[in-house]
Amino acid sequence: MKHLTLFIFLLTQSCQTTWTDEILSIQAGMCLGNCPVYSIKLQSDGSFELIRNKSIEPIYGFLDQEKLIELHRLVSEIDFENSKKQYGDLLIRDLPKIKIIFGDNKIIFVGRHSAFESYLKLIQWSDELIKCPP
Amino acid sequence: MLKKNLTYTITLLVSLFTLLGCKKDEFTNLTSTLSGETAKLGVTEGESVIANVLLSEELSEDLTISLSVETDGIANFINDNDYNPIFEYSSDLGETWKMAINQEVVFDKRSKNLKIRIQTTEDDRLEFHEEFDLTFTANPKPNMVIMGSVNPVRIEVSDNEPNPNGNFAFGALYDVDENYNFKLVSLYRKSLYDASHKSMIDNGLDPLFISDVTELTQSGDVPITRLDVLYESSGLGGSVINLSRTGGDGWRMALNLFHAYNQIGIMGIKPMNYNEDKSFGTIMVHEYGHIMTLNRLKEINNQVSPMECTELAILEGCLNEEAVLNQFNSLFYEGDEEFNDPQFVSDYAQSNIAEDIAETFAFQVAQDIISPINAESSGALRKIHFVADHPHTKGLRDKIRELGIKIGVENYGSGTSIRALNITNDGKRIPCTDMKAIYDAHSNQEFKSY
Repeated sequence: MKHLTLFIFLLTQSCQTTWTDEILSIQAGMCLGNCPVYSIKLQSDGSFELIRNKSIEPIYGFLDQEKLIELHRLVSEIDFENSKKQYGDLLIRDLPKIKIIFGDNKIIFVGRHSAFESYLKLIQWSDELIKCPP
Repeated sequence: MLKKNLTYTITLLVSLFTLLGCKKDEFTNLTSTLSGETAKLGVTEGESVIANVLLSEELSEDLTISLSVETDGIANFINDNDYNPIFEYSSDLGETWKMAINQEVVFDKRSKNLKIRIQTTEDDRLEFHEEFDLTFTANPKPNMVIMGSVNPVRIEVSDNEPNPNGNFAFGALYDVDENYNFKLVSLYRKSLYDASHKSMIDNGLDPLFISDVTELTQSGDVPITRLDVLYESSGLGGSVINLSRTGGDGWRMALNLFHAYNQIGIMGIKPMNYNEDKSFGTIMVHEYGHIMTLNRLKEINNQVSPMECTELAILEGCLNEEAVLNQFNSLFYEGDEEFNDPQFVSDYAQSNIAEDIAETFAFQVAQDIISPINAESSGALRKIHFVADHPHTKGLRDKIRELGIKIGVENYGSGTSIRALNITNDGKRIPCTDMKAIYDAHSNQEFKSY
């Protein structure tokens, strides 16, 4: 049922990216202050591996259906292929670096402010997830 | 006699006919249904916006409607001086307009369309786009039956001031002139956090903050030329960058005032008075530490390419031989001498050498007493002494402390949410919502990340 819902959802989307076998990795680094620091690897079926702050042991889990559908929608809105490798100015001190890897595409954002809307939504989604992972 | 009676009868009949005929033509309707036309309207400042109210049937008597402007719960609320509180209205499709009295307008009898016009104010202030709800309350007379209602109309007033660097600013960007006058020049409008943030920008920044940032950034030889004021819960405390493209110094300091008015602890966020927990003061000093160690006045020669640089080369350029960061590198990163742990004053100092020295700068200012060095002293304490004693930074500690800015590291960087710790030390998951269990599981731990 879970996969059927997801399949129907995907069929109805006009998307930039179709997510199948790629691993989506989001790594958020430190800033001056208390920005969320984590590394999360997600697969299209909702399984994830999360490392928060400096904890050594990863947390493994599965996204619930609502979160998984939302994640697929967010990923579908991103054009990974045509994104630049880096956004933001490395000369600005104290901003967190956020690295997003999707398959062979690696994009670095210097500060959350440098992420344009589709990426920012994905980063905000993961920032929210790590506060209380399922 | 007969003629007289006939004349009397005819007169009576004509009178009755006239009277009855008139009564037959008189329109009487006291029942109608009220509705609005739209839920949202937009206008650019200086222009007027018109809301339409409709009646399903014409009424035979006037119907008054009270209007009000509501801004409760609207983060980008409109300021009172950004619209004319005397509204206008028209019952003849805009042919003629009347002034509303006490924000009460009149649906004239025999009309089905009422237009309400609100004039917004043209000014030269850079602002957030603003919104308000226009609400309608019908006041029918006792003999009227008015059904339906008009839902509030959300009206957005777009600011029309030039905002050329709106996407360059993180928040509200101020030019800082030689006399340290702050002039708002750009606004990242998507950054609006809440109503208090808007008030902060509209009504002027807190004088306590202006005083602190002014005095701090003039304590050394290199001032700032731009101040970017953020208010967001992202966790970011601040940032700096040298924007000068001419080889000199033109520093933009960004500071997140969310940290100045909210104590961010493991149990959540608690509002506080300006810089009450001293962490914001320490953030400011950290940022000024970057300026003191990365400026081109004494520290960096950006005319020397990294290939030609014989000293430490970083993103900002080639450090001069006598630069504080260059010598910091020689002693603590490239030197042969090994020191006891801890090597860093904080976790964040481990990010890179530029953060290491900025954190060390902040910590040496924040320390009430700096312990003397002995053979057993840690690398972190030696770094504090190094920055306090280096000719380029010597004396700044006392100068900054004398300014009276509250500076302390007790709550600095301690914002890891307890919700992010919902795992016991032996690896068992705790529901994020069970705050007590999470707290109990970590009650003996030190949560500070610095």
